[in-house]
Amino acid sequence: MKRTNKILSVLAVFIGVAIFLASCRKAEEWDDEQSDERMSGGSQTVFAEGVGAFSQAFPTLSGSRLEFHDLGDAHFEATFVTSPAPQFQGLGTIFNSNSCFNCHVNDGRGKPIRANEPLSSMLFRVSIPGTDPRGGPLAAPGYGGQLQDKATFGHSPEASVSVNWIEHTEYFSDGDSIILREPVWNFFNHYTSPPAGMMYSARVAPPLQGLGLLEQVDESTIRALTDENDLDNDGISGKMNYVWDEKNQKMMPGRFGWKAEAATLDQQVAGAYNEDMGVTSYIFKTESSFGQPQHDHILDEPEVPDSIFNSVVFYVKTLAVPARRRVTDPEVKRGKEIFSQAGCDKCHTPKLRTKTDVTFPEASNQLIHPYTDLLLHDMGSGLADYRPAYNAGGTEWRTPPLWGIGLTQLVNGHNNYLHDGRARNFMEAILWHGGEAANSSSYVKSLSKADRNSLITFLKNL
Amino acid sequence: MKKLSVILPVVIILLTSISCKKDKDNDPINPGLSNQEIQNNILNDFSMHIALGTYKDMENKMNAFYTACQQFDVTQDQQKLDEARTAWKNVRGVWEQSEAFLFGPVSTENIDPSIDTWPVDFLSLDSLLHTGNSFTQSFMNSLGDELKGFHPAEYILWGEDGNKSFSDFTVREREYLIALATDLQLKATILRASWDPAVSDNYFQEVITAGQATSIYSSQRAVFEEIVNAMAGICDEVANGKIYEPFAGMDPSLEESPYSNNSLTDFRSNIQGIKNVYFGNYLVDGYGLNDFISKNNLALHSSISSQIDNALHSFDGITVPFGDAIFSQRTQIQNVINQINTLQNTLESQLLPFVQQSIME
Repeated sequence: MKRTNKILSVLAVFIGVAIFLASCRKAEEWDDEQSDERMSGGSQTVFAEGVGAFSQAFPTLSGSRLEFHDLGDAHFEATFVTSPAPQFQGLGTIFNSNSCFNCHVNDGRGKPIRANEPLSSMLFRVSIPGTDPRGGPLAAPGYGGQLQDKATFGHSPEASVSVNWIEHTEYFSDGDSIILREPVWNFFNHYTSPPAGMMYSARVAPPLQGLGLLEQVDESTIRALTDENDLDNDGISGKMNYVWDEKNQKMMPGRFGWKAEAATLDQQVAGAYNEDMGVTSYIFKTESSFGQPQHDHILDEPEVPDSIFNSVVFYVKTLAVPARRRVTDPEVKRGKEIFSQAGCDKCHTPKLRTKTDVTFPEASNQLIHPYTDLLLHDMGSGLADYRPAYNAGGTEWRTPPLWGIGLTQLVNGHNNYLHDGRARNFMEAILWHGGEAANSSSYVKSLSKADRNSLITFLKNL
Repeated sequence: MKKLSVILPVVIILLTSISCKKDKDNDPINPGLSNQEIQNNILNDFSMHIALGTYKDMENKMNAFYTACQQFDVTQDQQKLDEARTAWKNVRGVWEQSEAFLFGPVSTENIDPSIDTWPVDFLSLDSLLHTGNSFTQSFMNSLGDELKGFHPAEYILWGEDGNKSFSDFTVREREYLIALATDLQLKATILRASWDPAVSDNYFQEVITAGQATSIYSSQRAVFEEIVNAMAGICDEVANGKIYEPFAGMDPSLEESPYSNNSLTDFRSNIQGIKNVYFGNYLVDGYGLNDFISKNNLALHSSISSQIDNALHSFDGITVPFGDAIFSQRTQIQNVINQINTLQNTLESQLLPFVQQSIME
């Protein structure tokens, strides 16, 4: 008995010491620097280089969730037709596109209008001076918030659009030059006189890969990157847009769209069905043509069933991000250094971490490399649309993500960048950066040709 | 004895003729060529004989379709109508085969939706036919994809129930048919030109220079992945979309080419397109993936070639039009789906990784 007690007491001391030692050992944090930088979308990265690079499902989706994604995929490609019809009725009467896919070709990036062609994968937001009760753009009487340039047969489109390009030359320090082009949009064939002071803002369809991951970046993570009054004096501010969300019926941080005008993918997708295709859903139950002579007065709302709508949102949420290529190539590494030296990474934030969310395990707690801070920045007068949207002023735009951008040519057959597709290659896009980014573009102009090429090579392999 | 003496020469002649027939696809080994040389040949022959070859054939057959529509407009009788319908089916078959390689300009330039949008917008089409608009090319350009391409032409040619008579056609319908054929011709020409090395900015060049700084493909491997993904992609589209959706929902309104009863031929042509790509054989027999795979992985080559044939032959079991078969021959349709899924699985889980591992960057 005594002996047992002794053994027990020795054991107790050992256990006590062990517990003490264990409690002293500080849990090590995972060092993000050690992460594989090819994995742009964290565990939702795909190694795909081809026309389908933006169209891959999250690789860890399976079972019924993958089936739901596939259902959404099929309906993302569905073509809507005039009501009444046996399948896919509800197009228009006024619209920009008859399917999601026709603007987001291969889930990728839209391009500006070409000579003698109608608009295919871009559109124009419109509004008049002032704000609506929530602080958003004030709808233009007779036109609403978006210009629909197409209509079903027998109805009038709101207007037609054409473009003239004005070119000017910019010079690098070494004497090399580059020609930039700027659009002058012409609006004609208005179905009714546009209201005085109607403002137009051109938008190409943004690529869709990884949006579900961006939606899972916590508000506090984005807020930590803001510096509205530039307290750190680096010339870069960065502010959050705060926008109305129709489904949640509240103001929320904006993160999607060229001016971060949508807080959630539900809002973004419902808005696109409604404004771009004239298709009503449970979120937006009223036709965009309501109150206009084009309205068809057919009571078929919602035209897209809830289950189908939800599958399309899920599809968009679960599109994977293609991996970076050639990350160890010396030229790519040099380009990455220059990207940082030029200060590009101050807004095009290389790394973010998504929040922990047990209801969306695939996107939960992922280290991602989106190259965006999801914040608004002043881009100067060269890019300005002078059409405010909530907090976003006329010269401000949201930093677009750069992940996968190097695959644009393969996926979409063009290299047109920026909100209106004016840039015809990466260098033109860089040189259009003004405002807060003016120092960065000046820096790039001062680089040697070899270094400029390295920077472009880095972007091509993102 | 007498019988044998007759049979023997026949057998000998037969044997000789078989051994004389040089068919590269039955000769899996290319002893003289390195893997790199075979890869180069495959990319060249894919671009020349499969992509450009198919699109050239489509352009020719589209021109024939246009001519047939015009002749039907001149002479309205059953024979001219039948000829126009046959011409539609001929060019449709080529297009469906080309869907086995939906990458490059056909995809990035939105040519696919402008040729093959489904469903037909009946209501708009009927309104359109009752207006006085002249169907000029600029008027056609102003119309949406849902009013153009193969399916509106099919709808006009066969009618909603598939039994339209030559005398049922209105003047406006014949005019619109010609306008559709003109528009399709234009698209077919754009498509051919997009791969034609004789035209500037062609995709042919992108593929055969893959891996060089001027190409949009960073490596030959990337093109091989593109080709295999496209083959697997059309398997998925045909088995799990075009066939599965009307089949699972027992809903004939989801059928793609219902008026002409051509759906089964469409599906089969999609799979035939995979065979063309794999064997590098469309009108001309060139190098195909088979030459690389049979040299380096004979077992995989055998699986793929037999699974392609199984998928093609599985259609033979269906003896009624697809719109009926989704009700009356469900076992046979399920078999088609299974065979195509098997092929897709092999392409995705065996051919793709094999290509990724064995073709160097």
